Amino acid sequence: MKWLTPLLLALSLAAGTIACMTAYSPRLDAVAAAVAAGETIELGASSGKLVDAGGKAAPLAAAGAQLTPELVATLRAAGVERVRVRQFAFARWSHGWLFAAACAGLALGAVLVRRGARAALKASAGETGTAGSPATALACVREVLQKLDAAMPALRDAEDGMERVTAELGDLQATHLDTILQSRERIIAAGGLAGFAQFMSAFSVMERQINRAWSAAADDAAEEVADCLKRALSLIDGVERLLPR
Amino acid sequence: MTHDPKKRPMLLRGQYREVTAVTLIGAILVGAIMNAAITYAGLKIGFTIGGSAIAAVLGFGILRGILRRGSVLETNIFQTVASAVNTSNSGVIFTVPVLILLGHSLTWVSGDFWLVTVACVAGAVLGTVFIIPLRKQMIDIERLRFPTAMGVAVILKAPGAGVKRSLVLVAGIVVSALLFVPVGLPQLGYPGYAALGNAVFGEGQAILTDATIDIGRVIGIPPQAQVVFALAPFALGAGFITGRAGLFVLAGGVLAYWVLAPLAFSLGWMPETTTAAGATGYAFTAFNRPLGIGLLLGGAMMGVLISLPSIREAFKGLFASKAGLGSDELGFKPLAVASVVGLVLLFAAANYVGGEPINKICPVTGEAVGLASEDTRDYGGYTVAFATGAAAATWDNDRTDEERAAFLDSIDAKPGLLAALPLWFRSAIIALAGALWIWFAGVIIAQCTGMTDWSPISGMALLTVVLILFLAGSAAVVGAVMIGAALCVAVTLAADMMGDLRTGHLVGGIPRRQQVTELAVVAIGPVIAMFVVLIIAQANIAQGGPALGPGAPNGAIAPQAQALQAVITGVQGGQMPYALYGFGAFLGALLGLGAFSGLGVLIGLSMYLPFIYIATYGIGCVTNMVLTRVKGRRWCEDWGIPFAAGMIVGESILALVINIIVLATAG
Repeated sequence: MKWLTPLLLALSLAAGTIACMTAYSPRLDAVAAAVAAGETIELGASSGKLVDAGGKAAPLAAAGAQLTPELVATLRAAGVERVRVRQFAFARWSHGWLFAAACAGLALGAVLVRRGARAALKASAGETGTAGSPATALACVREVLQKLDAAMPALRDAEDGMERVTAELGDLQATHLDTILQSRERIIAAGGLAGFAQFMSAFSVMERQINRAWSAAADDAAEEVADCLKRALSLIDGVERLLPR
Repeated sequence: MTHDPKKRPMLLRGQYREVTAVTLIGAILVGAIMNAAITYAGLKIGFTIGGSAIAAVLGFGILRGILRRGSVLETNIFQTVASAVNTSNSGVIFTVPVLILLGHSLTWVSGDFWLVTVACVAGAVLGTVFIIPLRKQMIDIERLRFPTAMGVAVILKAPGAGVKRSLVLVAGIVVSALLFVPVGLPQLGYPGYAALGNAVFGEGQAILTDATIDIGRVIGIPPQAQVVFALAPFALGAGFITGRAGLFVLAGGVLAYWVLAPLAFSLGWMPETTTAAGATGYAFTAFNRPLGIGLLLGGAMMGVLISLPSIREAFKGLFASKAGLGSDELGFKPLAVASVVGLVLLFAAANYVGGEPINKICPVTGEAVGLASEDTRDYGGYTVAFATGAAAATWDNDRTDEERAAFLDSIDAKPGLLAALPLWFRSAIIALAGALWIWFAGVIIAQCTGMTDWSPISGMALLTVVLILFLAGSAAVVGAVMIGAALCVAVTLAADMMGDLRTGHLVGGIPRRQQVTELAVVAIGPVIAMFVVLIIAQANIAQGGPALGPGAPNGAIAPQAQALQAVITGVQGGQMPYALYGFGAFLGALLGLGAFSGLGVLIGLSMYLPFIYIATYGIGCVTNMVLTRVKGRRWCEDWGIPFAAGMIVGESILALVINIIVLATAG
């Protein structure tokens, strides 16, 4: 039944937009009644098939023409069922009911989506410390950073030292950092949207230092790499503290 | 084996370079050239190309290739500055030419030219300043992808990513350029894809044009359902980088072009004179565009509401930087100062334009009145000029309100909502409303660009013009276009700033440095674009043709401005389907309430944008999904994204080269 809610949303959206297509294209009967009641209504687009107008082909009624009882009668006689008008009125909207039903469908879909999301969040709550979880990934990030930091004196003098740093950090970005980024739902489940925002704010500052270390290593700027690694390590405690559990 | 520090490249010694004078000067020059070339081409073809990817490649070539220097972060600053100088051109060419098309003259000595330029500069400052506080929310917290920005990061990281990945990037550039060559050749007078189509399908075929391929015709789908794909490698690349989320964009296009248009045609909900081939065009203006823009607005409003907790966190970060706790961000104080400067410029321009007379003929004597006439009166929210002081006195003492209103009616000048207020107060409200709208539109555009790489700039311009005409009156066209131009420049720069910050995050740049450098150069772009428009217009007049638009000697037909002109005429004639905008917004808000907050934005965006590009973009999204399933996510990130980035870059660079050739060889 997982597909039922998206289907409801899709069908409701389609129905709503289909209904809107007739908002400015009412039935001629409805327009006739309004014109007879003295309402001023102008055509928003031409109406009727092309007819000969002084040697030139022109529609029966041109866009901008004001609808009169006579013009309405002419259009009706020509078999016109709907006209595009410039003035909107709920009373003339033939598919207003469909629009209302579509809105109800979207609202129901919204309730179902939110209920489903809450259930999923409840199910995944408390999983932030399990294997493959953000907490585990964060511990791995610390381990890699500590290892690189300790190895920096040797790496900065080695011929391929900075290449090794880019490889290590590239791997870190693609694995553990990515795991944390993919754990959005789990983190929100544990700490709510505000908790997630606080965590991500702190995490991003640390992540940027790692990204900067990668760039500096690619540029063979060993001093900057060492500085960035130290800064990232100094931030990781704060990030761990903010991880909702 | 030990490594001799003295033999290392220059950038190793001293501080790791990020912002340097060489980078800034080089980037401004490159940005200025790109701006001029793209402005000229944009006036002819109606759309512009993004500058970040080109700037990254040029920066890479200049800093590392020619000057033998340039770190990853220095190149990042280069692309930030160059794209900031270039980007504002689309905002200018979508709006400013409409003044010329509506019969206003833009010359070196006309006040309007300088006022619109000032408004564009104000827009540039406001757009950049307003979006900076949302960096944390959009990039750090929401993690919007910004496909082109990701591509730019791939280019910047190429030297350290290994030879194989660099080769994949180059392969993407080459494939993209080869695919795009026949699209660009017709601009230089050579045959393109259409000639190939004629050879394959016969003369006069409509399956393969220079820029599109109509698959619907090939497989026999009725023409009222448009199954046409743009021959646009950049759209393929952007779609690939967006991945699964791009399917929502495709869904909106499918709804608009494969469901609504054919259905309305077959049910007889279109005028009887509409042909099957013209059904999608009619559907676009009659309901898809207003519904799409409405959905976009409603979705964006709901998105802002739902994102309030993370926006609050973002602002906390901003105030923390004021206290020196988060020095990575530009603080609140400079942003506030820049906002005030932008607002004052906007007010000054609005006040001056509001004080210009709307009439060229004296309503009392029937004589011609000059713009410099000192005998003016404020009536119905407009400044009315008189030939003499006596005529003004007659207007004051002898004319009834009905007669005065009839005069306004005779020049199609309906009073706006603020008509009863004095000029300075009206101008202040218009400047404030314009600035608030710029903030909101900037958020929408940055969200759209972040999620999909597409930005509905012309839709926002349209709404701005409607909003200002509603506030200031239907004859306040110069003011409306001026604020529209400011908004367009602002939102393009907001999207550019956010994209650059996303690239910066991926390469470890310090946001504050990018923000400061972009703010420092952001005023240059609108000035260059305005001067190019003016030079082209003056050259056309000198050749005896219209300044811009149909029949312009150098082909500068300004298609986007023509569309905006149609909207202004529509507003003045009471032809805007306001209810459809409202219904669309309601549906967009409901969509955002349930699924994810950006859904309304994505669906609305694709209902409103040309489907030919969305369709090609969709192929990129589907390709990513298939490859992720077959080869895995890591493989797609490691190899697919560099190739896709190359696709974006290849087309952009080739388009720029063609634009420069066209500019250089123009009469």
